[in-house]
Amino acid sequence: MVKFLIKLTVFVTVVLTVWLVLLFIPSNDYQDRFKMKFEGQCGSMITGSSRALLAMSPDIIDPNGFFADPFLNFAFTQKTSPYGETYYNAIAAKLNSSGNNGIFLVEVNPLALYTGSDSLPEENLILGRLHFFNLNPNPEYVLINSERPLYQLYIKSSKVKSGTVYHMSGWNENTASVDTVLRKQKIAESVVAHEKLFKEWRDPSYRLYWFSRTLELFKTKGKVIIVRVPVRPEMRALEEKYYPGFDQLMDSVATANSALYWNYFRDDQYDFYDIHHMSSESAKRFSSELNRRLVHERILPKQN
Amino acid sequence: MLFNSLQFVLFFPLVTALYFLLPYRLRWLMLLVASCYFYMAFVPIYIVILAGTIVVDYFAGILIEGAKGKNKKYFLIASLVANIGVLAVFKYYNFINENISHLLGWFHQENPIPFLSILLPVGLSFHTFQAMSYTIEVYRGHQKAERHFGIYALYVMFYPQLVAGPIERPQNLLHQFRQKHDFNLDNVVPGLRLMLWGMFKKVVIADRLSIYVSEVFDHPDRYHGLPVIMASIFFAIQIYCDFSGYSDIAIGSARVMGFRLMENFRLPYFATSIKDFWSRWHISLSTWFKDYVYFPLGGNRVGQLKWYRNLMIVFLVSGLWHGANWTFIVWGGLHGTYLVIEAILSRIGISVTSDSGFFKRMTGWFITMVLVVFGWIFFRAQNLDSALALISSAFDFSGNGFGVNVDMGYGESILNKVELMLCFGVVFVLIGLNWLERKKDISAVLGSWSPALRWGMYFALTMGILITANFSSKADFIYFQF
Repeated sequence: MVKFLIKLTVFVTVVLTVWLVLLFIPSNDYQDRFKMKFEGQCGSMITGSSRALLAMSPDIIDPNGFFADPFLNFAFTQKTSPYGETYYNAIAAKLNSSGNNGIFLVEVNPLALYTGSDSLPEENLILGRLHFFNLNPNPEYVLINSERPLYQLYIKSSKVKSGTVYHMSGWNENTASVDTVLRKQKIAESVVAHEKLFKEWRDPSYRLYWFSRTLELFKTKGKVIIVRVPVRPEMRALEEKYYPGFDQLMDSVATANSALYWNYFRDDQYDFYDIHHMSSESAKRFSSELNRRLVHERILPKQN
Repeated sequence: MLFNSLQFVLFFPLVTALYFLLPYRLRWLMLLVASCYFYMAFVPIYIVILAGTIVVDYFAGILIEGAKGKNKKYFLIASLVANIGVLAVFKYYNFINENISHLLGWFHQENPIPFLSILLPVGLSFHTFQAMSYTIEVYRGHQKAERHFGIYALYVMFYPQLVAGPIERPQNLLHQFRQKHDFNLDNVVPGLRLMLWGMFKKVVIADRLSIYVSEVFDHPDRYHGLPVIMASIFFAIQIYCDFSGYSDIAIGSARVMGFRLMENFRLPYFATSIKDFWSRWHISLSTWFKDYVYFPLGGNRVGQLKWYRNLMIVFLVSGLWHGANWTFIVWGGLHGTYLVIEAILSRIGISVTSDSGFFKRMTGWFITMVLVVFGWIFFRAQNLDSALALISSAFDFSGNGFGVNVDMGYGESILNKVELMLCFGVVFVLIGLNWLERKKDISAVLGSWSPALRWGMYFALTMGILITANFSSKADFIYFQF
């Protein structure tokens, strides 16, 4: 029995050692849509849902690195990163402890600020499950929170085929070409799904509290701008129908927290992959527009 | 608790170590507590239902044994009604109600019966059937009623086979809880080997193939030709690896503690006829139906037509056992029909046996596989319309090869050529090891190898599991839903 247990112990040790090595290696090469967001701290941040994840590029917004760096797109998805205690804790862990020259672009939409029931889906997703937000490399993310098994982290061709470019700044650039028929189908499905949510999600109390806490935190680190990004007309009609006072609410929250509110919700010049996710070209234009406005409002110095 | 979870990685060695360290008289109690914990890791409240059926069947067993004449039968019927009643409420109520709604809809009538908003308790069909086999065997006089409530509860709840079998018989399992099992390498080593192989089949093979299968079967309107055929074949392999993988882990984890559970799979895809297939696939359920439904109906010791009727009844009920959906009933009906046709052909001298020549056996194998894979389309499809759409589009080869596009939300495709090659690769590993398993089980195969080769294989299988496991999601076993 002793001989067997020794053999078993040696075997388990060897296996675990090799496995741990394999967990650390892809941390250098591999990228997925969220991994770069959990490696090291940052000085400036974009927060919000997948709308911000796909539409806002830190490298285009602040190309010369004027603001406290790194400038990270720390937006995820509607389920992963609605404003709340979980997101607040993750943001607090990510931010540098010193400095007040940051820029904080805080994307808002009704689903990020309203809840429909007591359940908070984000608690069981990445931000709720992760313990270490700043390890670099971060094997905890690779092991538990990567949405892929370890072997897929070694198949680099999956990144090429993915239709999404994962920038180190956290921006997910959606380069996929969309079949018109599929897009129509996606839009129709999305309208139905969102309308169902909008009918149920009517309570802003919990998320608004944490949203204000988040703004207060950002305020100590730099300039805070609340941003409502453009969406397709179908989505706009839905949000206007179910949340007609949303812009006024954001105006008052911004004023109360000495923040700005930049509302692009009704801007019609952008193209979308589906009902509210921007295509690559539109995301670049939108990020350039944010850069232009930052310069125009003298928040960012004019570039050469 | 899932076998393929980090929780189980801690649970199994802890429970096994405690089992051997504790005095013999306390072992049943520790196993019972561990089994309760194992079950409550899914949905805790459902243990109340399980406890209810355990209490009913425990007393039913004692009453049946002590009763005489008709009373004996009445107690058995009461116990069966209680068990089937639980199944009916949790598994079939909404299905029956839905069909009533459809029926009334044809006459433009509203269905006044409300639908229930309930989840199916994990493994309900498995432990209910195991409990029923106990009362039936006591009734038949093949098994003494168990007086020790804890031992009886453990018979139903023994964690390795609690949620997905093998569906045990009291004659095989109950007495083992009274035996003293010492730590024995002749049990521990084969048990661990079996667990490793089962885990590999589930995590590496079944979960890989499920990506391709789910994409095609969940979007029958998007695919035709090769992807549909490929997905159907992959599903046949997926469900085998998923379920036999679970059974291997169950049998292996029990074996480590010295318990012998019944064999559940015997290389079913090497079968050369449908009858042969059913002697190899989900053996514990097939024999359950044979012992408690088929034989009481008369089996094949009746007239020809009644025999065919018996076969159809058994397989339709078996289909319904798998799930409250017409797809499962059609699947069961198909297999019943296959067996009836085989029986008719056998009468006129057309059959394949182990004595048949190579060409005949290969032909039999090919036809069997085509029929089985065809049946799996109904089993996997979300509904009958989807199944028929997939079948009708399977021979439209105007597409571009095997490729499928797995949409991750905004155009992200994860199933590229490398992934597809991996799918084929793991299938070849399965075929290779299954081929070696024809004459002896996987443990004996590994045991016959040189130490270097054997430990190399352990390492390869373990690393395969670790690098393909997705620790961020719960990949349930398919048979949990039944």
